[in-house]
Amino acid sequence: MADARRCLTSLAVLAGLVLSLPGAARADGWTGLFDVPARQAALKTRELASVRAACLAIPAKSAWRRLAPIPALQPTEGYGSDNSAEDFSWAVMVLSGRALGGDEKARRQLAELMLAWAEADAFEATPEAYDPYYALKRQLLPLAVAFQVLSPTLTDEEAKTLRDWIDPLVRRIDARFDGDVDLNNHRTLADSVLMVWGSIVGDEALFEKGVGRFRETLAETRADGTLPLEARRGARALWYQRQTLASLTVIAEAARGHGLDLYAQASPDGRKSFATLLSALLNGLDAPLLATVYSAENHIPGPEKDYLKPDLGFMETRGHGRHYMAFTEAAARGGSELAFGRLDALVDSRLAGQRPLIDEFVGGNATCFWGQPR
Amino acid sequence: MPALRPPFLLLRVACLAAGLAVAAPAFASFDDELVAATSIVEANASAIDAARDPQERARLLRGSIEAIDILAGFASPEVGSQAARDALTRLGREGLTPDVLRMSLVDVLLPSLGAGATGLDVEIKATAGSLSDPAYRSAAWAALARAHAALGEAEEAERLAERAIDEAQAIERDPTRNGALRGAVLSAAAPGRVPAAAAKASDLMNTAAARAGLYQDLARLRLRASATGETDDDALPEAAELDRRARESLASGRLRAALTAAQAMDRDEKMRDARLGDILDAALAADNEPLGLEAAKSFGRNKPQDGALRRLVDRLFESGHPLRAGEIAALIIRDKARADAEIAVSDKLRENGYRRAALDVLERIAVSPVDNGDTAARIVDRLAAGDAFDVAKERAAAITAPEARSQGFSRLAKRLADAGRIEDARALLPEASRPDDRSFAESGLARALARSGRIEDAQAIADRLTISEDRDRALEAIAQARAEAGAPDEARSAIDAIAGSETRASALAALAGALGRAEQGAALARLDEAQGILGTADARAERVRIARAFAELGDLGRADAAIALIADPRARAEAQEAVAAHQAGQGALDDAERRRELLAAGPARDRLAARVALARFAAEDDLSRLVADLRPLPYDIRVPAFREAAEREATRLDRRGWIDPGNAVTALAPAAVPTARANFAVGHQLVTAPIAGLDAPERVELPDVSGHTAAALRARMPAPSGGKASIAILGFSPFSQEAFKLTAKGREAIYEVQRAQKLTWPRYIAIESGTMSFGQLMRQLPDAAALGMLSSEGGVLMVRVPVVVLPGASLVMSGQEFSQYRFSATTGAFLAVAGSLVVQDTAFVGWDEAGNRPAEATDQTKADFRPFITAWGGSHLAIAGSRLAMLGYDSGKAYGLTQSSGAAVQDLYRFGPASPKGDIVDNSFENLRYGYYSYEADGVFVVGNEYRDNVVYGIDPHDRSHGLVIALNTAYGTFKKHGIIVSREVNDSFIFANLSVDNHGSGIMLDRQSLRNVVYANTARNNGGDGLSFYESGCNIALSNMLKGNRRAGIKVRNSAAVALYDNTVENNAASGADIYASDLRTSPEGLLRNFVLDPFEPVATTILGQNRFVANHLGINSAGATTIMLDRNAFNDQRNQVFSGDLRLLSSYLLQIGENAAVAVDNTCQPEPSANAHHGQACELPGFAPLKARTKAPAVPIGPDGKPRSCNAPGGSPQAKVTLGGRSDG
Repeated sequence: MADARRCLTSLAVLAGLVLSLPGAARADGWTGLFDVPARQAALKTRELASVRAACLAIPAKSAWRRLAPIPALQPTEGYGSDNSAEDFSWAVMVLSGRALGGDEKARRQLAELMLAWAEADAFEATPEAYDPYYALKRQLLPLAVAFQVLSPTLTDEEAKTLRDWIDPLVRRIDARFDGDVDLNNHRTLADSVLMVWGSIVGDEALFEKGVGRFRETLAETRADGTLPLEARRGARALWYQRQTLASLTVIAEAARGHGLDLYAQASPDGRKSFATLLSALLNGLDAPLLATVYSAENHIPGPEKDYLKPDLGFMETRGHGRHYMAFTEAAARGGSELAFGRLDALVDSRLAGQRPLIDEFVGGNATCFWGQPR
Repeated sequence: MPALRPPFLLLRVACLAAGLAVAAPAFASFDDELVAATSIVEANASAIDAARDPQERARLLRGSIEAIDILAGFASPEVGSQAARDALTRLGREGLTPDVLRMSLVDVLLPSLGAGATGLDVEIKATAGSLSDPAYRSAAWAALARAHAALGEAEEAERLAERAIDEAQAIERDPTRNGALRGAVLSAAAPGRVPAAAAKASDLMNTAAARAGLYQDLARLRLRASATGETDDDALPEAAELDRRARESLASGRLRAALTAAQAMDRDEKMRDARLGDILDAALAADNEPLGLEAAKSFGRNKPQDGALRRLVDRLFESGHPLRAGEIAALIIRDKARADAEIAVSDKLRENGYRRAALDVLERIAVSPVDNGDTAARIVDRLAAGDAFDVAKERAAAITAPEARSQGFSRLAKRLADAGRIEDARALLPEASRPDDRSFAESGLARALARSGRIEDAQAIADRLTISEDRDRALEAIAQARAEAGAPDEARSAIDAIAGSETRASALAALAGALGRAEQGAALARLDEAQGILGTADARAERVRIARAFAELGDLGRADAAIALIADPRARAEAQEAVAAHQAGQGALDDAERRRELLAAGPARDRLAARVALARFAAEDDLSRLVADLRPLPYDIRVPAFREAAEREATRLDRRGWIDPGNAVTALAPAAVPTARANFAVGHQLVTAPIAGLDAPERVELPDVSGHTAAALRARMPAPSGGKASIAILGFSPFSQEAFKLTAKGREAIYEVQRAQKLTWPRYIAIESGTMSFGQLMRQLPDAAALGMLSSEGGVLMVRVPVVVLPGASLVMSGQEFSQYRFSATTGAFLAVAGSLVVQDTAFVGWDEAGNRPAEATDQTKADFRPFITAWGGSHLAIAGSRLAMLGYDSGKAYGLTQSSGAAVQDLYRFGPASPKGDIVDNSFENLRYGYYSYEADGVFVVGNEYRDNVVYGIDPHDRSHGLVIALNTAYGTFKKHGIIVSREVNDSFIFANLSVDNHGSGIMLDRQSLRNVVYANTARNNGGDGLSFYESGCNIALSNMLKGNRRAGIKVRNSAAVALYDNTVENNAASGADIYASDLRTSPEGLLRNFVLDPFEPVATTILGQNRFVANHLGINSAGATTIMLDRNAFNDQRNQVFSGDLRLLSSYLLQIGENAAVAVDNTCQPEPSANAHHGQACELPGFAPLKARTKAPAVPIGPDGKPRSCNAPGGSPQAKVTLGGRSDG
């Protein structure tokens, strides 16, 4: 498919044609991260059978019923954030995928789990500090998506319970900390959560935070697609480029529900777009030397201190079966530019075999949400 | 911009390379070309993603680069294709920029780089060099450095790392620049190998964390190298262990090891800063500045790092090197702290007399007048203190905070008032809005009014001042003004109103001074009162002033009593010195000497010795004794003392008032007595009397040298401001071979360099642009320090390689940076200047490293290389207040200090020669091969210098040097020849007020067709040759010189037409007072070595001797073959033999009778063949001096008995021939 697409693109460019590629926003729109009813319907079709299988690929565990609500996420020492709620998060993402794929049992389990945590005011006591709040942000997108998936089947009371639990948590992460975290991928993550939730609950102001963040990020992007606050991260320069792309993808997908094509959005000078950021990641994977232009700064680099040894762990499945490249399921179909084609080829060659691609930074089982047969 | 190529061909090739079935028609349109080029880049991008074979990826990338370069070419302003620009924008949005593609190519090529892969290396370098973004370039060079390091090519790795550092400097974003610098250093680092450029890179970083992080990385590399098997941070010792190691190393004096351990600690460890502080203390105690600086830069937070750097700054202040302090100050991170330190540097420079440098430092301080108003106000004050009023006003106006603005304008107003710009100051008073600032400014205004005589206005201001200190200062000035105006009672009233005791005492001392000896009793009473007011206060300045005033009033007992009350030893010594100097000035030499004995060894004692020596010279007129007395003193005391002696002697001789009109005497000689006409011949001598027009010119305008002082040059010296320099390979330099002494003549300097560096084409340091110092060179060229080309210890810098200053660049060498610059004779160091060189208040010494001593030379060691300075065409020298010693050897233009036209840089040849210029003022030149040598120099001022114990000559301008001013110099002890000589067409120059004494040859000589020079009020005494000589140098005038005690003639004139000698004192010379003669050099021993094309001569000697005094010489005037001698009222006393001898002997009785009363001419009746070229083809014109011009032409050629002109030049055929054939040679 990738070859065909590249060929087509080349010919189109040579011929001066403009192709209408898949991924343009639907005129009638949706709320949340993606069009849940449409996706549920599509997953029932024969064409998407393999994708539906990916929704159901990870079995639900009964042990998840015993997951004790965590009252607060805490600050951690050193690099990283509180991962005590990872089991819960994983359960939510697996179950929301399965629910989307038509697993009623999983749907029920998901609702029970979330209601239990809601009633326990889980995470409510999380102290307002950037470190625990980062951990909280990572919890909220799967919860928002799960809520979106569950919504049609929830009672009003259940829906209110969950909304009353999630909504204040989401609004709390809009906090500022007078540091880089107000500007870097942490903020983009926060705004992606705010936007998705705003879309779900109909809060235009929250929704606009994501759109604004997307545009600000484009404005800050260098000509080569790198971001000053991410490319400096030593061995994790590409890692954080990807991190930003994941959240921007969430924002762009949520925007599509409102008829807004941020994938095609250009920076004020017209020279940068999502494709530019995406290209920086792809170029860096091809030629790691490109990353060293900025990564020598080695700002909070992560476990690997040598900036010349880039951390490409995001290309492989990580703990709990999650995958940092899950965003590519959506992004690869985001636009018509070359970069999207290059990403599509990357998914084909290196990621498709690792499906389902599940990640909290995109709200769950991305293959299930956006994936196409390969 | 990439070169444009035939696009269709390129596209076809690129399409094929990309494997695309792109149908690029032979007649494709321009737009088609753009579309095709774009598609190649796009298609290749996807292909590159898929390709795994590096060679295939490289091929695709090369194709993409060519295609995108085509687009860039079309998009360039020259072509201006909007479609191409749009295509580039579109590709850019896809992350496909020229830089990305090139960097990707470097990435894919690097792994294939192996030993001997020259072609690949070249391609990578070319690709890296064509990157446009400095961050990319820096990263590419760093990557290449890593690759070479991995191949074991450490030196090449370091060179590339330095290039990466240089590129990084252009990166705008601070953190990115810091990161690139770190990456560059680490690229050449390895366990056990720390690149020399680390210090430079850390200098360029702008946060403490970045610097400390780099040093931490390097320290950990050092530790890994010392611990087998430790390969990562986890294997490094814990912080506690590192701390223990640091303490232990510190205790045993191993500072490097201690620093490494401390640096390696995590930057959050609390004990880290404490250890670094300990190490900094130890480094300062050991005078180990480099290690101290590294320790300071290892503090991980800005504030402590700034504090540590400030300690280094203060230490350099203490050692008297504020310029080096300025380099450290510039490294301080926080704006305000940095500005504070730089203001302190500027203050020091201004205190030391470096006005311009102080201003340069101030003007470069980057501080916001909005955010740091207080600091900006202080800068305003200092700018105004340096008289930069306009800049100061501009800066003050930019301050927005009201209090700071008020302070700034207040200080500016005060400084304006100090400078006498009273109305300008007054106009600024409204801006001084705060009462304290207003009072401060008004006090300054009142003082200025008082000084200018507007005492009532000053008093009116003082009356309304309420701040005591401001009021006191105003009243003190009023009191002084009234005292000087002869109103002591009013002065006293003002003094009584002064509240502060010290100010009142100071005012009373001033009043006593004004009263003076005329009212000694009252004056002493005021001083007693002043002492009483001071009580037990320290008041050192006031007490010194009182002691000095007692001495000046002649009451030494009270002076000593006042001195005894001074507690501070330095102030006490200052008072003793002042009193003793006063005694010496009064002629009480023994008393002054006894008082000197009370002083501890040091500058005060030495200064006093100089004062006593000068006083003794004034009393005894023994110049050789003065030299002996001053000889042992330090040069910075000796040189001004000699200048003062030269000024005094010149003042004594300046009876015409040409130096100072106030010195002029009305009657230099008795009026001419009317005498009977005479016109007769005796032998070959034709006597004519009286003759007219022999009066000396009324006035010759001598150049004003009062502004040519070390102080004046000091005030003009720029502060180094950085520039570009490099370590270059001599064989590939832009310099002519001559610049490196590659000539066949003499032993080539280059040989020494080759031998020392063990390289056929050794290296040198080239200063390419900007105004640089050696301190900056050491920072900018870390390899120079690492390879030992430059090294410093304390205040001494050692230079071990040739250094070349390129056109447009400047090198500043100053005592404010290093007390001594040693150039190694052992390694062939020298300095070639094609730009500007400043040497100010420091020592420049040729150094024998093998013997660890100055590279002293004699004529016997003339062939041995010694360092030298040669300034080439287009250069400018400003050398002042310095000692230049042990320089030069017997190789052309490598004589010590040389200025020469000609191109040091090959490219400059097409511009033709440009005469070097400069100021060489108030220096000591000791043991140079030639103290000064020039070749076609122009307008150089050689003023106030000491030439001491030089080998061949003291001062030796040569070959068409023109318009020189040689004044107030003292030349003594020259080993081989003359103190001062100008030779070979050195024309239109002024030689005046010099002292030349105790030289092996003559005192002053004009040689080889040097014309139109004025020789005035010089003293040449006790020289082994003549006092003053003219050899083949006519059309010169010498007046009012003192020529005494020389072992040959007082004045000698050989083969020189039109030499005028007036009002000279010629005394006690061992041979003639004046010896005037013609000599056929072709037959003399000297002629055997002489090139008569280059140095022609004519046996013609015409001389005017007017109103000279001849005293106690062996002979008075001797003539041998002179063409014409004109005599006018010369005085002769006590010649030990004949007054007139030689050709004049038979005329003695007549000349004695007439010549002392009126003008008489003695022409040789047998004239030489007339020449149209008596002065080398040049006119003999001196201002207002007609007689010389008139006598330039030889009289009419005598006609022989046969009716034909008589030739006097045929060997044996003329009197000249008879007296000179095979005879005298004095060269």
